[in-house]
Amino acid sequence: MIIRNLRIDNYRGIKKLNWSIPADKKLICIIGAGDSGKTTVLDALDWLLGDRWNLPISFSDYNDESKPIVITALLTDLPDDLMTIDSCGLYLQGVSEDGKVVPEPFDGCEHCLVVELSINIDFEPTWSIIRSDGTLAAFKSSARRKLGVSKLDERVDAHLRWSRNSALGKVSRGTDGAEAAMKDATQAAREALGSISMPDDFACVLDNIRAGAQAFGAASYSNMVPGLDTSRGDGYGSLALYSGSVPVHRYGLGTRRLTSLAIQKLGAIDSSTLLVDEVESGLEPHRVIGLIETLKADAAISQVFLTTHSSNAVESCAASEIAILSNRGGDSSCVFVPKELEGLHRSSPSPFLARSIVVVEGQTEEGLYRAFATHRDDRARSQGKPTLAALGTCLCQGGGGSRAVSNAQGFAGLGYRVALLVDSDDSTTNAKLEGAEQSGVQVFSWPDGWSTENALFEALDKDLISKLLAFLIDEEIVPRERINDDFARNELGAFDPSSPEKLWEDQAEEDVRRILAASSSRRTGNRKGWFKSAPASIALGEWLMSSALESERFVHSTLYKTYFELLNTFPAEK
Amino acid sequence: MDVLDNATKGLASDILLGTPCSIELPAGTGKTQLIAAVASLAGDLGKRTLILTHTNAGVTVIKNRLRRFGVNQSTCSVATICSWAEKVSRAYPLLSGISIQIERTAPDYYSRCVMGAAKLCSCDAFASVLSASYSLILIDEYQDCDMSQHRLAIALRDAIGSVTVFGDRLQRIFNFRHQQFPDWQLDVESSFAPLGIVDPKPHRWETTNPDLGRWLLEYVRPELMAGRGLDFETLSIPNVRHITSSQSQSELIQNAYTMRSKCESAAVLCPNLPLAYSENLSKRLAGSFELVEEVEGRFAREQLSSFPLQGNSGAKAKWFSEFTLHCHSSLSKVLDKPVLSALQEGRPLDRYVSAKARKDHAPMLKKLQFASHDFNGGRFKEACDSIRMCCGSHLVRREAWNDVMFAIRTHLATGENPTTIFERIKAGDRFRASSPIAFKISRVLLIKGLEFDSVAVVKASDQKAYSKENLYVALTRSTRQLLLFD
Repeated sequence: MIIRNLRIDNYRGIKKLNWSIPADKKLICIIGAGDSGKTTVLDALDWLLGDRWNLPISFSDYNDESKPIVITALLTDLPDDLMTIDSCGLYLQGVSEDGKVVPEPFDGCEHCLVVELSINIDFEPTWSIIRSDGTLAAFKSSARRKLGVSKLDERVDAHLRWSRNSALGKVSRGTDGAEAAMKDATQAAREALGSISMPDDFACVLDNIRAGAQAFGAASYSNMVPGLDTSRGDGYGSLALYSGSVPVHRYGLGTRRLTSLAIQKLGAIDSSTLLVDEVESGLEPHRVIGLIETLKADAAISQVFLTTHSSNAVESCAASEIAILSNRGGDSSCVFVPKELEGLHRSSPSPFLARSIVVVEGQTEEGLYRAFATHRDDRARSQGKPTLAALGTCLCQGGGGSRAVSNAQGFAGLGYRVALLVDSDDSTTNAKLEGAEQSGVQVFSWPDGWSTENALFEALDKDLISKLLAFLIDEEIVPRERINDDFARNELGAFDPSSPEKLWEDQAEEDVRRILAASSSRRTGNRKGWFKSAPASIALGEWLMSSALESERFVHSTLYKTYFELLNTFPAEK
Repeated sequence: MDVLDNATKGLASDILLGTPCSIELPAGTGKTQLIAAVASLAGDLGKRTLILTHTNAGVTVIKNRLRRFGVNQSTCSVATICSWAEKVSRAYPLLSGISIQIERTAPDYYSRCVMGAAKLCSCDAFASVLSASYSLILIDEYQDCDMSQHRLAIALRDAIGSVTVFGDRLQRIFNFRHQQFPDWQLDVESSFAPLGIVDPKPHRWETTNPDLGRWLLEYVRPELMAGRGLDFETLSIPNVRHITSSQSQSELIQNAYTMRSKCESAAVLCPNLPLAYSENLSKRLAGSFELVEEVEGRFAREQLSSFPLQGNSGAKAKWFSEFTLHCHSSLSKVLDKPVLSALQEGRPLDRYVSAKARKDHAPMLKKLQFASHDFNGGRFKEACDSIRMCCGSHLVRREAWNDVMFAIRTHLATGENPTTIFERIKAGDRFRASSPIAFKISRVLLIKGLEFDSVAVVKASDQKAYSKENLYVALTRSTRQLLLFD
């Protein structure tokens, strides 16, 4: 079975979600900010398609308690058992290539089944098959069982015991001799307990219980002894899966989950659909990656929905396998990452797991951003306000103006809040900015065709510029010869740290600043600009925060103001 | 539980290997047995089987036989072609090209369903539904399949491959003159190749009257196939008699009553036309033999449609009295024209009650008169009860009577249209087994596939009364005793 569309109304944090899933998606990794409703989506699928008939419904499952919960899905590639005339064979609809539903399975369409779970305000769940004329047919538990949907969740240990509803129980049922073996084991345990001789003290305690209970008028008990608790493991007593003499439910969480997953998968009649909440839970990064690869390769699995908060898991999926769930006050949307962003989630997986993303053009901007961000966070901490990380804001370096704009636009299309900082010194980049703004990207760029280096040198007074040049030379961030070469090319005299004022003597101040910006930003031969490496840009940022904050010119500069605004673009959500 | 003999088992496995194919078997040579055997064998091999036949009676017969062989009901479903076609085609009106508005009462309703189903079966998606549902389809009484049903069978064959048809060209009798049938040799056998040589044995008469069985298989069948008349004069078979009846048919009536008392089941078979023939005879056999209604309930439907919904109580009482007359024997002198018009006008019936013929029926007339003043639920029920208690009269058309009375009673209680109520009962009926009445008077057309201990055939030598197929079916219905009247 393949789930092609999921609609959720009024279920937990999701007021409304309508999610179309293209036919070629097998592994689907749902990510999204905390509380966006990832687990809700998996639970919705589990409630709708699982074979349970008694759901643990509570008031908190309703988004609005005065309205019913409705969960609808469109299913294709149904197992043969469901295709029969007596099962669902007369209720099929068609789905055309572009995912549109047509009333009947015309030739050239795929056939599909539309199923619905609706839970009225009286907590009464009804499972139905929706026919094209709007009438409903019952969608029975026996039919749902044949879909082979299993969810791996916190009830993992329950599936490691033999009981009527556990996966272990279902897998064993119907196999030759399993039932008899289980009965024998229970019987043997009961007999072994019966033949234990009680120490006198213990027997005394038990007899006191008997006497006390009878004194209250309870039944007239015979000798009281410890025995097997048969109330929990319905059917077989309390038999659990052991590995040698160690119960499997004593193993680590990860191992238990993987074992439970294997058993649940075996329980499916046809191929199975797996729902795995927080795939990384209890697993080391390599086991997460191994699990995802195994799930992808397993031919007996038709679809896997997993949720994750781990960048590991995100990295081991293809971009097109990642679905981003966003939730704005209950209005939810789920969008697959477009192919154009392939690779981005591997080079920088963290933005995908964030709430808002700041895209900056290149390395220089990244270094400055990190410095300004640290400064901002320090101040926020001292005032008891949330840091950028706590606000779910994450940095993404675009690796060049044009790519930065496309990335920003891509993120915005996926429902993230995006801010973009780019130079305005490149015309192809500028041309794309309008499109980005239309997709909802907040664009920050320098005035008058400046580069970031322009903004930097505009922000510093003469004294600070001299200090900066001295710093670059002393710390060997930029070699003195390189600086002098670059100056010479721009008809500026060599820089002498011992008499920095000479820099300003020959030319007008604006020209000097312009030359400084040009010298530092342009690539010469195979050497990049001064600050276009990670160590250099970070060192620059740190130096600014330690040396320039006292300067009036700096705090009133475009550079300072722009970064300040950029860092405070995304306020905390209420 | 019955056990299959080896010959039938062998033939059944040949059929499973040879499908798609056709099997032609004369009456009484174990066709139902063979179908059950094939289904049983298929079930053992894990195959799911669909068996299609034509009438509800046929469905019941096959289901009973399957039960006797212990065939798992979940692996084998049985339906009439029409109801199956209706079920699937109405589920997909667009693919079937069936108008959603069309009602069951439309004259060509079922043939449209069948044509729609044939169209549906050639769609990709429904073909996969079919192959998920069935691995084998058996169609019984194939000689009764008309052209559109034949097309459906071919569509089913194209969709799932294994379709086997069973029939006998000599048992083809049909209802409507304009119905088109496929020629057995040219059409049926070219789509479903005949399976080798099947050597039929007259199983039906094996223990009851083997001579009759041999006579039917070895004399009657070849003669009729060749289009020759039959010689009833020189018969020398135990329990088979040729009786020349007088105009009053008193011999027939007398023999029928004897059959009623001596046999466990019996039938009086009449020519299909005219309709009134069997109806009149049924009144003379009233109380002993029940008239078999048409499957579609045409009589009851016609009666209900003439119910004066907008009329006053008098008109309704008159309609009710007329219907009572249709369904009961010996009332024609009681509910005659003057009485009917008095009821319609709401006049008192006192002056009629004194007549000799009506003396015993005074209570009934009184209740009818009450009803003519106010035709409500309570008075209607009292009138019905008084008719039931009425001595000297017998209910002849039980099925029609019960259905119509139920419809009127419900109508009076709920105000729902009586025809709508009736259609709902009939819709349920299609899936209900036919009534277990053992003594029937019927036109040949309506008892196809049934068996009786004893059968009386009316006008047996009249070549105009029976086609060769009708005569063959009539002669092969009895297992012990066959009485031929002329």
